[in-house]
Amino acid sequence: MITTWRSSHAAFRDGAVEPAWLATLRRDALACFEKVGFPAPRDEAWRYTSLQVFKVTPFVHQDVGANAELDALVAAQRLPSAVAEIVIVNGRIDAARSRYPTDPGLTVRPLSAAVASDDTLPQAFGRLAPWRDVAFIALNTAFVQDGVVVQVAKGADIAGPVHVILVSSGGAQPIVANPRLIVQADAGSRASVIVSVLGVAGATSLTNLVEELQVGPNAELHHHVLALQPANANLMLNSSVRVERDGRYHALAAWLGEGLVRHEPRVVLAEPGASAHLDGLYVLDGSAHADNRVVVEHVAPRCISRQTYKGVMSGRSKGVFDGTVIVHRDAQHTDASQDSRNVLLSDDAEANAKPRLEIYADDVKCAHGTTVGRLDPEQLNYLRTRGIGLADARRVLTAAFVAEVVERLRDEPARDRLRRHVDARLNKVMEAR
Amino acid sequence: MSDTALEAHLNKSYEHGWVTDIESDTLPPGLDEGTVRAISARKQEPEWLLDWRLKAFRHWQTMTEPAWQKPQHEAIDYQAISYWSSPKSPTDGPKSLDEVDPKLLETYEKLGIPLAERAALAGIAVDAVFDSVSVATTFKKTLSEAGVIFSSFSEAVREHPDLIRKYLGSVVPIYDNYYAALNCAVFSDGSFVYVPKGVRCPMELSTYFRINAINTGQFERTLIVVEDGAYVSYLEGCTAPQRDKHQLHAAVVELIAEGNGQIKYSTVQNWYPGDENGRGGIYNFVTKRGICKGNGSKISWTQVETGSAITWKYPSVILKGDDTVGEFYSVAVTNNAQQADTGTKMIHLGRNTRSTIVSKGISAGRADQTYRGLVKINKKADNARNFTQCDSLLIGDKCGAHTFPYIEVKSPTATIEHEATTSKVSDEQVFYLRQRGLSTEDAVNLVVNGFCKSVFQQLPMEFAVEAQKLLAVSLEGSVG
Repeated sequence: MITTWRSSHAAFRDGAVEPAWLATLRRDALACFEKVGFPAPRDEAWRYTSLQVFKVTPFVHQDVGANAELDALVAAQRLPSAVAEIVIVNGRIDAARSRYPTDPGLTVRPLSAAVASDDTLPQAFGRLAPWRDVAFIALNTAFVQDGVVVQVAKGADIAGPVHVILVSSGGAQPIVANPRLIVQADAGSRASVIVSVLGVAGATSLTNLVEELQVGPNAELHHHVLALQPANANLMLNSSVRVERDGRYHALAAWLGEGLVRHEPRVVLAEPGASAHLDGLYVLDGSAHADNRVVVEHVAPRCISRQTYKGVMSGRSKGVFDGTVIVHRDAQHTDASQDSRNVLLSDDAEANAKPRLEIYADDVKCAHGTTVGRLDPEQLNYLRTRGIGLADARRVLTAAFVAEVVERLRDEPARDRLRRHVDARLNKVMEAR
Repeated sequence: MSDTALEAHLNKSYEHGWVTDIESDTLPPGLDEGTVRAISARKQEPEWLLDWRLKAFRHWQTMTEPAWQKPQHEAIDYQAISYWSSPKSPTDGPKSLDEVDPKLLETYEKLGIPLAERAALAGIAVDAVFDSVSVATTFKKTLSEAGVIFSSFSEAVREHPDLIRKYLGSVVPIYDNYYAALNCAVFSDGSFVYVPKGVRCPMELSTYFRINAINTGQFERTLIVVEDGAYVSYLEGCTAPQRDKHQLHAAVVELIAEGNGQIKYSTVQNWYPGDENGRGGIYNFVTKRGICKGNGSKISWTQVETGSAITWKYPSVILKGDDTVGEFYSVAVTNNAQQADTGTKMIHLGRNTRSTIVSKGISAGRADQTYRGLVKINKKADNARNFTQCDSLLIGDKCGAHTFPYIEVKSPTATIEHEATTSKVSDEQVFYLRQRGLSTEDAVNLVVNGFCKSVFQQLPMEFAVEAQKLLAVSLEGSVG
């Protein structure tokens, strides 16, 4: 299978014109991918997620022309508050559907444009993402077609979010897209980036997104990913984040699609006073599968991290939370917590949790909690005695269960949109029962 | 506490460290089919047991040592270990205490084993394992009147072959893991307990293990079977003399509880942990597993682990019957260069099964400690319930504490709660106690004892006292 990727790389690179550093990086990354290979069946990191689909499906890169279905899909997810909205279809920027910002404190460019013109890009590209060690990051590095580079100037306070919409078009052939998102929030700035992952129902697809996010000193970055892909649409997402002195990183990952999601956030709290709040929310049905492998590294003293993941599983779906907090020797006064809460709504659904703490410093406060259960029969009974039907009572309680995470989203239109999607999914889940 | 006092403690040598000089009948180091046959022959075992050992040995040869664990150790040379060592005794074996080698008795004396009259006062029946052969068993009569079988493993093979054949390897199969397979091939001796239907074992059973001859890995096997409605409480405690070379201890413990049967298994482990640089010390790689086979049965593991250079074990319970209960209470203390990777597995298969896990880890010096556990709820395990609490306490800035719980739930009717915290003994707590006239060390001991209280409460009283002392000794000098 790996040889398939090698031969397709030759075809993919055929006739491309780009700087030597990128060509070299691609070549090295391909070699690393071949060396690392896809995870083996007994790989501990992939205990709960099967990669079978990637072994049998010959994914291809594919461009797409005009497509009314796709237009409608994108239009429905646009955010009125967005200061920029970049649409990427099958890994390539769709210029006609995108718009760029006018704010002087904010630069948003296609990766392809930055590659050609920006001398600082070689330092940023591949700096945070461990492309030598992780197969999907290596793959993305070797095959990246385009992406978005966001730079927030020192001290700039950007009100609206930068919205990146990733779409995979349906088609006869399984499609692969390898987009990349690079965000640099400079000292004292404040901004938010929202990524929406969509797909036209039908064909099998793989969106292999790699994010590299740098949060500068005292900067604040809000990052929200919403996946709404149809069944057979797979999302591999590697988010590498580095937070510097007193920087604040807030993330919300919401998995409301029908396909497979594997999210690997790697957050490094690199300097004193940095903080990271990682929220996760998944409402799954059918054969949907969400696997969250979170790693937060406390490298410096006095950093704070919070992980709050809430999962609702129905149908034959499977939710996985595999979170690790690593507290390095010098990271005294660390305050870290992990929370994974799960509700199972059907007999065939499954919840797996692996909240892990690796601690090498003594003056720390670390805690984790995990629960798996059903809706509280007493609470259901309470609502029913007040004349609320069983389905509605269940809906209300489930919505309340995930609300904590939803309400923390900073951008209001994005919050409304998320609430709408959660409600729609819950309705669907309850109807199916 | 001042630095000098701290150093004084660190330099303090292991108080249970001595070697009893007695003649041993020892096989030369090395491991092949011949070794397995030789062990079996010396023990005059039946053909089926030899075949079973050989099957395990052949399978072991196809296996590789696991490498996923957190503790690191030098490669073990299995050919350098002597697999058989038994104290020389008259060919017929001792008939009474008078016939037992006085040096052995002296060793027991130092360990405080209530072997003679003291046993009666302590109310404990002791099956003392000195190296590999059981040399004396007390309280046989009281037990046999109740119908309880408590004997060395070899004796049970001779006298109750049907029971052994039925249950041996039924919880930990020979294919289970590397060290269990090795144990199946070369196990020397151990204990066998059988409590018949409806019998409540009249006393707490206890066995002291002691590793004595240089370069002798000890491969114990314990098999405990309680029939319908029966109950037994089994205590296991260990100390070992000081050695320079790492010694491997790969034991297997199997517990079987039939309908409404109950087994309470308690361990205080205080083997030689190695010196302050981690030289010497025991490798304690043990497979312990119980099965709640019949409906309404219960298995409870309690362990206090303060010794060994490396402790690596996961006492587990398979909750097969309906309404069964599994419990795991653990205190693990690591100091200096000690490493521990311990926890439990609770496998819920039956309906209305419940499990409780309380794990307290204390890490000091340069020690590293890991809690690793699995709670698995199968699809058919309706209304399963688990509560897990694992807390770690760090003393000193060079130690590590890690928590790796696995939670796998396939039933929507399950209720699972898992909580874990990691913290240090807070300055406020120590300050408060010092204000009231306690020394820093006493203050820390008090806080640590409070931290472990929920586990100590589960221990039989004699052990609870010993455990608290052990804890204080293990941590002495680690605060200042």
